[in-house]
Amino acid sequence: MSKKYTKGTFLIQSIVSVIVIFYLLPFLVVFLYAFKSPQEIIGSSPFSLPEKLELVNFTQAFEALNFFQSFGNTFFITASAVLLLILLSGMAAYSIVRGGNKFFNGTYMFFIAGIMIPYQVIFVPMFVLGSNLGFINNLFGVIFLYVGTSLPFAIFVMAGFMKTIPKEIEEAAFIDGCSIMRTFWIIVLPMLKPVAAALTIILSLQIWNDYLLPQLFLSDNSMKTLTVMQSTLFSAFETNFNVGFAGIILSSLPILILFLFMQKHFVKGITMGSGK
Amino acid sequence: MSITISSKPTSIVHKKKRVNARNIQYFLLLLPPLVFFIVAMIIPLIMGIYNSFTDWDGISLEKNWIGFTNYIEIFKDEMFIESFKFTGLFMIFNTIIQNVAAFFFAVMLDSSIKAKNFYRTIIFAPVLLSPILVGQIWTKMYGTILPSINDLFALSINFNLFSSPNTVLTGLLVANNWQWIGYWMLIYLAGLQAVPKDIYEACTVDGGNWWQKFIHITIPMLGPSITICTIGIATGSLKVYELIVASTGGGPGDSSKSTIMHIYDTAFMSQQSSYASAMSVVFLLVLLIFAFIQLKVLRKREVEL
Amino acid sequence: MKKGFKWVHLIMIISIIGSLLVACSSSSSGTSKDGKVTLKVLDWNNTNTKETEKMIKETVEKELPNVKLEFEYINWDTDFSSVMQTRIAGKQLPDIIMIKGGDHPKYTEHLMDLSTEEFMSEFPEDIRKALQIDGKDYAVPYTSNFQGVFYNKRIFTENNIEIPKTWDELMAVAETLKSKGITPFTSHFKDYQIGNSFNQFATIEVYSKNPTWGNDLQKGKVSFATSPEFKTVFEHFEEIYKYSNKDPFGLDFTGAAEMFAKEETAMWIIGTWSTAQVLKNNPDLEIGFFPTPATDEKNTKIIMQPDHTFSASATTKHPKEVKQVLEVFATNKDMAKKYIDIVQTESLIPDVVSAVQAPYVEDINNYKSIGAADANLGNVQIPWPYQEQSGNYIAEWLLGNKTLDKALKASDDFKSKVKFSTK
Repeated sequence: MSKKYTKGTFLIQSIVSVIVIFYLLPFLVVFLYAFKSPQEIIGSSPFSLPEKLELVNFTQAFEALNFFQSFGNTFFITASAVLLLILLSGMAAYSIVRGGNKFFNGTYMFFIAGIMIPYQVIFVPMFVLGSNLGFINNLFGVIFLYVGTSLPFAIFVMAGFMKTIPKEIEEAAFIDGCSIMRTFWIIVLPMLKPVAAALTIILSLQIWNDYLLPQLFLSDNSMKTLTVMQSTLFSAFETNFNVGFAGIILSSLPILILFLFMQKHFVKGITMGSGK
Repeated sequence: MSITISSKPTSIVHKKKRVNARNIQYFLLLLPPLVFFIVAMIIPLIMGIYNSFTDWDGISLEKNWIGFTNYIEIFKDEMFIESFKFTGLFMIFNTIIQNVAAFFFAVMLDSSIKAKNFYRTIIFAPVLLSPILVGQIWTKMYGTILPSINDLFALSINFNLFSSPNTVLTGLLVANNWQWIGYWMLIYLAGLQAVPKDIYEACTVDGGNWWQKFIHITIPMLGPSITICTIGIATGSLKVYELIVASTGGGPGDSSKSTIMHIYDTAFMSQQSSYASAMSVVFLLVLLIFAFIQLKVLRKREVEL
Repeated sequence: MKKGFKWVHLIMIISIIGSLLVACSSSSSGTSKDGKVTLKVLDWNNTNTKETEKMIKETVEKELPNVKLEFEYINWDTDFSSVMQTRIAGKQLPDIIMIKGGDHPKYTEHLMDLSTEEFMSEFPEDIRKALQIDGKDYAVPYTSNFQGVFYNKRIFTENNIEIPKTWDELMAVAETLKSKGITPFTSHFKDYQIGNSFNQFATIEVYSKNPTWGNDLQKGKVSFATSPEFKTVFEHFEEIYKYSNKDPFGLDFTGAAEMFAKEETAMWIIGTWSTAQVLKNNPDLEIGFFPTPATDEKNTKIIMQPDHTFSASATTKHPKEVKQVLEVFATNKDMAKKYIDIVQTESLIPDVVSAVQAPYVEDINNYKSIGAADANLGNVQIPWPYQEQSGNYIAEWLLGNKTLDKALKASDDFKSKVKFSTK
């Protein structure tokens, strides 16, 4: 594409700017609220600047969220589940694509059908089963369930990518006497990095922001996740939007910073991972 | 299947053996993912199907077999049908709006405008929030923030989209799209950047204008991205629950109750767990049929392009 | 490619750090090294929870040095039922559960029978009765809320308005206010207000005449469509809607509290749980209270509802300690007083009176002495989701999507879609 800055480019720049203002509006409000006292919220226009920065909102939100703990939990659950998901979906996609007979095709359809099952509709039995397996109040139990329920989508994406990898390299490895598992581990897995990066974004956002599963499975305060703790800031009987919105900022800022740092890799990852 | 069919008759015995040995290894690789999937989804699903034939309330120690009674009830349940309609509309509009908007945002951000990274980050930022927070934020936006614009400029625009059954769908679509467009935009953006630049150049040499490039190169090259986005958006929309709970609570009246929400409420609020299971089964059947068609159509189109 | 590789490493490293963090700080319930028993308390997250938690912990841990309490907050309106149901299914019920008065019948099977406990005899018979199921106690009564009409004293005085005693008088007051350009009612139909008012109106108009109406409904002896009293209840909403702020379906509880605090409206039909939020917004507001007027003056009564109550899981591993904690709740009047002062409500512990000095508290005490109607009469017989759903049908009618008759009929039809807890 040309690097020239033409009239057309200016037009596009203007359109995008307007869109971005619309996007920023809710964030602006969140920020302004988070720095105001309850009285000021009532008394002033939502767009007015805070008279003085009410930092107490942040300390309150920090405490109410039990921030370090819940952030650590969320991070641990998300990171472990995503790592496992990438490994397992790679294994499944590899055997499905290379196995290529009726059985493997059938299994593929079996997995794909799972994309359509919203886990909310199988919640009660999932919980009964989970409690028998000791998944309650168990971070690993929750990780297990995330892996199980997100696998279909991950396999769907992985398999799409796997089909584009040429067989030749693997065949050479077989001839050298490598077993399939060894081939997968040494040759195929490293080739999956681009699609793994793309999947990492998609899956980690889903798991990071999930609410129902940790809400129902993790009752121990030391195991609660950020989303669950956030919900207690918005109760039907008492909501302090200033503290609530300060909580939103606190819990979103780290992941936003992470995104800013990782942006290049994210985009690169998707570029290579989107089935090209 | 292709391997065995294509093998020459002379080496068939030898090859089959090797294929079988390989298949066992492939199967071993497949086993762990299968275990996760079966334990987390399939067994609960089967338990749910069993529950749907009982009268279990979800709490009680009693559970009796009642046959198809629950299923017959569903077809008389106006609320289920209404919630289904709502979910369908929500999905259709989301799929169209999010796909188109994400696509055009991506195209615009792939041009030579300035401060691309800044724009991209802003548009992507809402993705990082949980849907619950998005619900809370937009409730506040429609309820207090936007109406105060009316006060500022002495206007009388009806901003409170959540307060009427006629506008609540629009309100939820705005909130949902505000959150997710950035996400799919990134996927399209990635697709765009993967399009080899020389194809465009070749087209320019042949005298094609930007529109022709767009129709004949950009869209076909983004085929796989379109598939991923369409399926992702559609399935995501069908599962909508948290956003609605945190914003409209299904109201006003029952006008924004999604199917998942209706099922969830029936199971947990009204304590009709088995009836909720029956609704889940029906809902799932519809989803599976829908998914099957979608996959067939999209994959077929992709091949043709 | 190379960068992607590093990135995977980074994630691994961070997740290892994350897991260390988790491992360091996780604690489990039960008996710990120092011989202390940790009991889990489920709290339905309403007003000033952090302060109450601190206060309860300090008091209980001082009286029972071997006990540690761990609080968990679950929003009552959105998550309480589902969390309780899954905990029961998973046999993971917390040791002590704060249950909202009226919700008990749903969980009795899984709650500890407290009937024979010494501390239950502390409570007057009528309070115990309000919470008993089949003559058995499953909860320590702790606080109650009062429901009725909260009004702006300044607006009432400035306009020489007398306290209405019947529904017609209330409507006359509303008309007067409206003619003077004042919005009569704060209405937040976006969340639970319709459900709550439904119960208030039904208590004074229906259950006052037939205290077993809900049970009769279940048996098919009565129905919404054929009950003139229930038609009145539904019609009350139409009138309130007429005299409400603009766009009540777009307003939620917090918005309503803000509106009332800003003196934009004169009255708010709600319960005592609202005052804390209002006064937080405007500490100087003079709030008055009168009972929601019934069509017939003799049914105009203040509505009382046991609110915070403490129950124990029937399957707790530490029944002895749990009972000791419940005993502290039942007998420690000092703690009870602190509790109601923080939450700004009324105590059900004998002789504990709130120190909150507000006009509405005086009003409530005056009306209370005349005799109160029990809100749980309806709540126990007609489960809350049923009331909420009927509220949704009322909303659809007010918004023009259903006729009144259809709304009444839809309420009848919903009967098969909800589980009744009492027989």
